[in-house]
Amino acid sequence: MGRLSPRTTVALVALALLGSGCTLSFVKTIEGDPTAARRARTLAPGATLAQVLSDLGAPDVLVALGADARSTEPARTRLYYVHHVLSETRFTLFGIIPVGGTTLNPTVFIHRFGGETLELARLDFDARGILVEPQYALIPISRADYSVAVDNRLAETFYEDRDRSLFVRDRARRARGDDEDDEDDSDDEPRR
Amino acid sequence: MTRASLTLLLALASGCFTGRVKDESPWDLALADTLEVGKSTRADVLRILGAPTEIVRLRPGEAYVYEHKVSKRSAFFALILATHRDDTQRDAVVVVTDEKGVVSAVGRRANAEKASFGTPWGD
Repeated sequence: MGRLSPRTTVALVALALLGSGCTLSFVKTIEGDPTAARRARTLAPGATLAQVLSDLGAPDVLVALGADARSTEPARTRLYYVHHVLSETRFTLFGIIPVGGTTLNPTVFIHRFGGETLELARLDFDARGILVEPQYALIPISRADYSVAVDNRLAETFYEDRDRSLFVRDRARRARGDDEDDEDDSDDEPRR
Repeated sequence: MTRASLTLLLALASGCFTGRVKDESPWDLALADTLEVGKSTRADVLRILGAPTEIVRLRPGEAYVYEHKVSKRSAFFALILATHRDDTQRDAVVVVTDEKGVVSAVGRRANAEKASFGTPWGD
């Protein structure tokens, strides 16, 4: 068997990669608009809830703190304005395992590199609806080495509050008996 | 391998898709402009905007959250290369009422139509 030509070698390598199952993918996800979060940076304590909602619009997440009458925590209304962008490159290698009449494709190796940016403004209002604690953070996270460039406690609190809000919303939706799939185009008609 | 076979293989091993996912029904955002702070009541909110996505119990008062989310997804793949982009934007209205049920604050956002298809390298 003679030496393989370069073209044949490349073709065989490519076929081997295809057969083993690998992909090189470029991924980007965007959620939210940064305008409101950036405008929130100019807010100072003393602004009212009515002014903020009128100027910045509806928040991405709204949670009530200390709203339970039995709570000793001072009652607060917390708003989040969020913009999240994930941009990364993934190299994935997965195997092909025939099992009976079907095939399993487990991921055997994955390498990601890229980054994500979480830009968020957190606004706390007291029981009178007065802004008492505005906070803003632009948090870049590098995926290559999993480092966090700045203190991410603000982000962690945001994820906790958002999960709590979504849990309440899902529970209410299940109580209403709504279907999970809302892709029916008949819903395109406005409610009124 | 001939060029025609290679072209056919490339064509068969490539593809793309776009998709759109909507969460909650849309509504006319202009309806929120008919609410008046200090005058409209909880009953007006429910009559004009309908059932909310979420009600948040504040102390005092309540917040009625109306939300409609649109996600636009686009992907392309060719042999071992793939691109994927997902853009999610929302329309939302938040109405806050005081302990007497009178509207004290209204906020609206109209961003759902800003969600766009595209490539991972675009804005």
